[in-house]
Amino acid sequence: MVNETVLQAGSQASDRGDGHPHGVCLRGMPALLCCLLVCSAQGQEIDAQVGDIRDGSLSGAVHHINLYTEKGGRISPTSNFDQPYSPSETCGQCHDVDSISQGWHFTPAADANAAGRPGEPWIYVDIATATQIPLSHTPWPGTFQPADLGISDWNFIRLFGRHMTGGGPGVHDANTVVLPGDRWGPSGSLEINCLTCHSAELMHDQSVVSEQIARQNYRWSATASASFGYVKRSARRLKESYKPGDKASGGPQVSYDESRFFADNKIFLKLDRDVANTRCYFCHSTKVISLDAMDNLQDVHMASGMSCVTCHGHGLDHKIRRGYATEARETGSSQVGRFSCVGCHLPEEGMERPRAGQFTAPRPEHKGLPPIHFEKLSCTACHSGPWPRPETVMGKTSRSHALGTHGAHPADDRLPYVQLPVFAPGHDGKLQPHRLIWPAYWASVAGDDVVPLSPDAVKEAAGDLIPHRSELTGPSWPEMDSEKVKAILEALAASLEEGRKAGYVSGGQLFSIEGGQVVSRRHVAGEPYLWPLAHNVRPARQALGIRGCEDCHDQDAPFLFGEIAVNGPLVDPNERVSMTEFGGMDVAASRRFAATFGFRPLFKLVASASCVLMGLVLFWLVMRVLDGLIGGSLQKRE
Amino acid sequence: MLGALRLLLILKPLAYGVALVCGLILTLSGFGPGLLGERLQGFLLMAHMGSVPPFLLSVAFLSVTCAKQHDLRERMTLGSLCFWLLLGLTVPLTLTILLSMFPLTGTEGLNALLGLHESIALVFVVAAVLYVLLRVRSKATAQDESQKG
Repeated sequence: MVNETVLQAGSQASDRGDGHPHGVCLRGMPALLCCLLVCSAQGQEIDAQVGDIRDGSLSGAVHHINLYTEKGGRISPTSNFDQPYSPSETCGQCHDVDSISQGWHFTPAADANAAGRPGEPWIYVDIATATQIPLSHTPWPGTFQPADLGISDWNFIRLFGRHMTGGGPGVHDANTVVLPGDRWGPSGSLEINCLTCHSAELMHDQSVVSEQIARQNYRWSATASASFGYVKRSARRLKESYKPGDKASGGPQVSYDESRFFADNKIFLKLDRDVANTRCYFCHSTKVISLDAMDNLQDVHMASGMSCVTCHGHGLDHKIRRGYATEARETGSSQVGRFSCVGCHLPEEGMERPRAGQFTAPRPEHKGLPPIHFEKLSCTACHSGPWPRPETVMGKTSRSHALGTHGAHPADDRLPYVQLPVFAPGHDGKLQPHRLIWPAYWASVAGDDVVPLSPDAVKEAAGDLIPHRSELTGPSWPEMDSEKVKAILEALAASLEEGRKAGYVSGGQLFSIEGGQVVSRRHVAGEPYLWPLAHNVRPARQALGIRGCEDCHDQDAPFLFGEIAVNGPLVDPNERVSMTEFGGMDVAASRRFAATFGFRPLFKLVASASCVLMGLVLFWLVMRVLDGLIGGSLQKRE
Repeated sequence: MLGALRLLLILKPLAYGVALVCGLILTLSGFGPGLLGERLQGFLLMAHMGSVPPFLLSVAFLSVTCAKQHDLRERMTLGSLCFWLLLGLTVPLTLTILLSMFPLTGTEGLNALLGLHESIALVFVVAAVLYVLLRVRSKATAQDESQKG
């Protein structure tokens, strides 16, 4: 396998008849070959291509390369100059795109075992139908598969491609389930766009992708966002039979910056192996909606000079280290564990050599903090997210609120309503801060079986009952009352199969018609979806507990007794849920326990005074015994 | 003087009673969860910590009022030795927890203090059981002698 790879690389080089087969400056090539041969001798299988293996040089590769079309044609000012470049074909010349495509950013986990800790979902918002629902291809409990709502892969890209790196559902292949209305022919695939993360060029504009997606220019979006290309026109009106290169169709038109091409028809791309933070931020920015500037300060790790990829790195498979406590155990990789909070900050017992303290991670002292806290709480409980308040605050994230894209509503008060920090048991059973949304959606109901309906199906069945886009007053929930809900539920019921009735899920409740009236009941289908928040990490001096036990164990400490607004149409705007309910704790018992902390000073006083008194009595005894011993020996001498 | 003596006569058995009951609660709540493979937390922790102040006050009171009675210079009996052992153990037993309530030591130190607290508590319980048995026996002997007399 390895020898084949080497031979392939060699043959490609000779095919092209130049010293640098792919334009990459191959420093240390002999060392690389040695490495590959050694691996081969040891019988290891390596799919890595020439660009995937480091020879030890820390200087990084210079990417002076050819661009290729999706059919493998070389792009130059004299050929294919009107075709979009294909990242897979271009980068695949030197990198193993098949292995890379298995990464978390491209391919969702296939099953619950591989899914790991629940993460941020894609939140599908349709204001007209008052829908806010968490979607994910990864089977995280509480999320819905896009297919459950009749969202095809093509439509999923249309909705969320703006913040996707391509690949996975973006690639149209033999396995893609094509639904009516999908337009893979004109749009093409949204290939993995390596430059989304790895481009270090100032001109790389990821926000252009959202425009290209809206124009159905999936295959052109990588070119449009890159620093060397420009795309005009739309694929929206192209016929399904469109073939790339069909100039007569009036499809999207590519123009390259000719000045970027060298005499050898290659182009220089400034690429970073270690991705810059700003590239990660495009999809992973978060904002706490608060007037307190402290809530949006930099993560302490960033402030100390680290970058996202310092902890969240990966191998060739691009399965990025997520960094949660149990990840190493779940993946069976000790390497993963070395980059978790514990891995860097605490020494591991029984290690061959000490590994803690990398990146100058200080060893936490946790003076006076009873060790039981480490069994009950994750590190993030005290160190991450905004300082808890009596009521949770709203937040925005890039992926939920389309941050950084053109045309996204800049208002803070807009759907989806994401609340934070909510302290609840996480994946490992430990209490940790989360973000939360209350799902709201129309559903088909039979007993306790609640199946969400797609907003399109709701609009079709309910017709004019659903407000038109022009009638919506803002980016918040539309006006809804029980009369309107009743009318929509009746209209929906008529469209459902026999034995099922219509329901609406909002604020943890399931609304349905019983005896001609709209009634509601708490239902598991309405339970909020929570996903852990790990950033921004606060330094020790801003961690919960720094001022003493009262930070968390006070009678009204937000950590335990904070309130979470129940959010959604038809829900009482004053309805609140206590944090203890999410923590799986008894509110009364928690309050009793918190009350005992008022007696701690008295406890300390009584214990100290008693110790002093008993100490004095013991001292008296010692003196008495010594006196007896000394007196006895003196008497003996006399 | 007589009033004070009378008060002492009432308070002393009361202190013994409080110390016994609280000691029992402390022992059960302290060792119970561990024997069941669980952590001391919640209601049991509140009971454990709540029993400490009355226990300490009564032990401190008894230490002052019974010191003369158990003066090792006068007579050295097994009961007296047990009494002073219990008193000697109560101080570190309390200090190990008292110190952990101040931000003086980190996780390892706290774990060490807790381990020390548990070890001392184990010795304390054995000594307390022995002391109670000796007292019960001496009371029974005294009663027998008074009945014979």
